[in-house]
Amino acid sequence: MTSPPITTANSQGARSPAGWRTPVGGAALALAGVGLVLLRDPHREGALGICPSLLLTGGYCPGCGSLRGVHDLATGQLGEAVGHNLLLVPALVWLVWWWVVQVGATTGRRLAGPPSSARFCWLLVAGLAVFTIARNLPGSPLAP
Amino acid sequence: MSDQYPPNPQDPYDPNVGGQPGYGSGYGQGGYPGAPSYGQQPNGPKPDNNLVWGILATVLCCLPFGIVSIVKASKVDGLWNSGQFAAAQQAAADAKKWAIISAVVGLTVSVGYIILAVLVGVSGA
Repeated sequence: MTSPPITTANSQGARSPAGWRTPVGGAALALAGVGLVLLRDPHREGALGICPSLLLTGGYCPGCGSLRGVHDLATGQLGEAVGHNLLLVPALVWLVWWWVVQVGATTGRRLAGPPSSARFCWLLVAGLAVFTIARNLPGSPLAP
Repeated sequence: MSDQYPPNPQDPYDPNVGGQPGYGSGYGQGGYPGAPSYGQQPNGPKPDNNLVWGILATVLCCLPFGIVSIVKASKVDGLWNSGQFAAAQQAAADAKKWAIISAVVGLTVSVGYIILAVLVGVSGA
């Protein structure tokens, strides 16, 4: 058995560029998204184009209102954000939690991640279905 | 500093020069295509189920493809735990793929709409 000289310090190196790519890239994309939303206020219809789901179906999908919600959060209006999309804040909590775990992994800390079991996935799908139906009912307070 | 010496590219007898680097030989590892996947060895650690992409696509984009992504993500753990390692990795890859499809379709339609709106001169909708 000869040991080939290819298995270099690649596997567990804290602070390898590949390890930082996810947390840094994620943060950069998130900031770019917030910047875009602040630049072109999505409350103005058509400011950021049009949603293909809304265009095709005429109904609100579970993501509808989240861009307006992000704009509201960036300008400090939590209540408005919840009004546009009830799921936005919980989703952002999940995503920030996930991001913190990624940062922990790159710096050699193993942190408990956000829920992602099969059971959670199915609850999520069921919840999204109920939410979608509920927000499309006439006069629904969950509408974006 | 590592103590490994660089392989001499002039040495025709060095097994590490030319061709594939020696990964400790591929013999006996899942041979011909279409081989049954029963009893295979896990090829690496359990894959992340990539649920993060599904959540991003569903809440921040829209489109039903985000839901497909979450459904794919839900299958990863079960497949892995029942020994279907390749299928688990495929499900994780599919979860990512459908979220990316969702994002690409959403962005394409949005950007296309903006370009169209600028060209036609329509403001708003």
